[in-house]
Amino acid sequence: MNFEFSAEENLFVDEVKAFIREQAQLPDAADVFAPDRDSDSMLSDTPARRRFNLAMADRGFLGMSWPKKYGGADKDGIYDYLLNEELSRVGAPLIGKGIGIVGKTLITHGSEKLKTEFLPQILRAEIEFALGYSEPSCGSDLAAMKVKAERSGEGWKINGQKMWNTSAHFADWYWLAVRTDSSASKYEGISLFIVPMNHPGITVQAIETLGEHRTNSVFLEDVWVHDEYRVGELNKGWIYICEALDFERFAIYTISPLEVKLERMWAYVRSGKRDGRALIKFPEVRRLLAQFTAQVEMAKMFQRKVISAACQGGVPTVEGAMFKLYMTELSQRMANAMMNILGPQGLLHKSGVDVVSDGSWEWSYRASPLDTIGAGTSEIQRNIIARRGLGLPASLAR
Amino acid sequence: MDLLFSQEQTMLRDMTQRLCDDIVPLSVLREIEGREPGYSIDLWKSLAEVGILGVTISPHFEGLGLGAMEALVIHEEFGRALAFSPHFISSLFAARLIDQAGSDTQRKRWLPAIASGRSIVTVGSLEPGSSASIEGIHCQATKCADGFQLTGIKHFVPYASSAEAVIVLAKIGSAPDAIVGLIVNLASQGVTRTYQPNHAREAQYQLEFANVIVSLDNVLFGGENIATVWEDTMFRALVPLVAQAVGGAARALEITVSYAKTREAFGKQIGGFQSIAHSLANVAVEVEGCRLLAQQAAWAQDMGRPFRRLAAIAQLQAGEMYRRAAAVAIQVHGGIGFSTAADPQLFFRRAKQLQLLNWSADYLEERIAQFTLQPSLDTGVQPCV
Repeated sequence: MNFEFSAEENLFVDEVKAFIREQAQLPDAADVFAPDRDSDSMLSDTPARRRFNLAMADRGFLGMSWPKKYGGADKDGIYDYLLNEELSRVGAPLIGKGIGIVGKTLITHGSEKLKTEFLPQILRAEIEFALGYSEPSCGSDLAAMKVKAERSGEGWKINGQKMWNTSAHFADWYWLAVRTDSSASKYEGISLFIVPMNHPGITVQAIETLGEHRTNSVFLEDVWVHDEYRVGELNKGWIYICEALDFERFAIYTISPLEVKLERMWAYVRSGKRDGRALIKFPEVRRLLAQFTAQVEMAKMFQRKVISAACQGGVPTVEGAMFKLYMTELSQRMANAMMNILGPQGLLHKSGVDVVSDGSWEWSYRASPLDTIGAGTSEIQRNIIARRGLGLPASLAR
Repeated sequence: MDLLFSQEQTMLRDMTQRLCDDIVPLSVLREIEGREPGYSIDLWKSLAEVGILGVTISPHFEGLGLGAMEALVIHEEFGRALAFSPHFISSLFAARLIDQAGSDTQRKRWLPAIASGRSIVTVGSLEPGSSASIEGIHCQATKCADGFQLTGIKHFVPYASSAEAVIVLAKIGSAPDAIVGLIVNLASQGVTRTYQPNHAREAQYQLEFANVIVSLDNVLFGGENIATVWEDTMFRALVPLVAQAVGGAARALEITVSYAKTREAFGKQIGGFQSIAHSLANVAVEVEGCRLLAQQAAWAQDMGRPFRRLAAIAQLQAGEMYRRAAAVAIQVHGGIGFSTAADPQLFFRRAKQLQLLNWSADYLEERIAQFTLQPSLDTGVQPCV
């Protein structure tokens, strides 16, 4: 048993840290590094952040786990994870959907045309993708999606509405899941397409959220796509979506944002005072922080289990569900507890006066409800653990 | 990053599991608990035969010389089977105290005897009305011609009816750390032993010492570092205790999952209701988390890394986790879960006992806070040989 990373892996982490230090000297650093944006900080939604991605591409940080044949380095997925861990620690954009979901699905299932067209651009960080999965009437029950593609000449005509497509207002391409066969079971009639985001039939409408985070509704009206831009086999989309989620569980769930929050909690109570008395002297404050210290350590263990399972060649579905469930609920508990410690002043928005702890807990408290909803709600994670981990019977109609 | 047991560790686990399943199935446990000696002599003999009684004792003293991870492996199986015995207190705790704080003569006298099962040595730490910290010690050792004269009461002394000796911590002055460790033969004059009926129906005893004479060769150490050694031993002991909690909770979960797959209500298996399934999923998450925390603490210990903060974290989480897992087991079983005929109650009672007997949550939290604020406190203790 070994709870440490290898010497080679640690060397890579040092290399990433050095890269981040260099980048932090640049004039646009405040835009690139924004840990206070919470989970929203992973996006490449500004020019500075896209420039940062180009710099990562130049360093060879993108596509490390891709096969050499497609411009990758054939490294273990753990390097993608280690990179994301350091990036999320400082609130920088993560290596995203292009390298992960899109790239890996294309490599495994895409046509030569799609590989040739997209893989090099992804590796060079030239294009950003938005995912088009959820719809107004389907979130957790994603396979019930209704947006429809109908045959039309050499291609398909797509109509309907998608929702919660977070990157849609700045992405170049749309990774779109639609129903191509309404007669089959809901899991067997879905296909994936790649559509230019600036297609004339596409309208992107902002949805503002509690976390000062923009996401979008996307309306598709007679959007015509050539059949060549359909990914893999017809009606196999659901399988590809699930497979890609499994790729993602490994790299995208990092522990460092939680560690940073815990450090911020300790830092605050070490220096903070209440009626002149140091917060750190209050036994209830010490005990509360000790509890969170223990819980963050436990969250880290789940993360390590995901890596360990993935490194052994397994698909860490249950491990990933445990980590996601525990980490996101813990993050909410931490924000709540810290608000309680801060008292009324903790309610102040970071833009105003008399703000404590940079207003970061007030933001966190508002931003973190998304974490137990997005990327599979806590309820879905518990379903995965109950059914795939414990072998309990399915509770839902198929 | 490799979170799998080695082949040898897996073999050790399988062997321990087989012994427990064969000799002390849960049905047998009902005959064992609440009566003397409080453990299976057959299991004890088998553990002696395969060397497990000396698992962490040095090969110089007839032990196997294995590490914290192996102790964890064994105790997770003991926890699964609720197969408790003097192993924890004698082979791990007392043996470590003697090894770290004893003289060569004392090591030679006791360690081979413990490793082979010829002797059981128990430890008296707790006193009525006191906390588990060193400040809770009120037993008094007074210098006399032959060594020390011991007076006071210890309780929750496990397996005192089977043990040959008990290690007692006693004060030798008024300073908080003026403490001495005494190896007291339980047959000594002035020792009164009283069984204490308890929540988990374990073999726990009150020992009263009335002017018991302890000769100098049975004094463990002079008094300057016993508190440190005792504390270090306690931190090391947390790993097998967490492993017991993990094993017990995992077994309770298994039993409950299997019940939820067979029991039907409203025309379907109750495990198909999300209220049941999610409750069990929450338990599964906590069991797995604590298992990993224990393994990490054992790994750090075996690597000579700071491990105390990690061990305290594991114990804090596991105490509450086991308690909750056992409570969920009863709830999901419904009425039958409340009956003594069903198994969940066996886990329910042990879970709370395990949580409270070995450093309470508030004490652990305070220690975790200290280690976080001052990491240098967690550098471990050098062997004081």
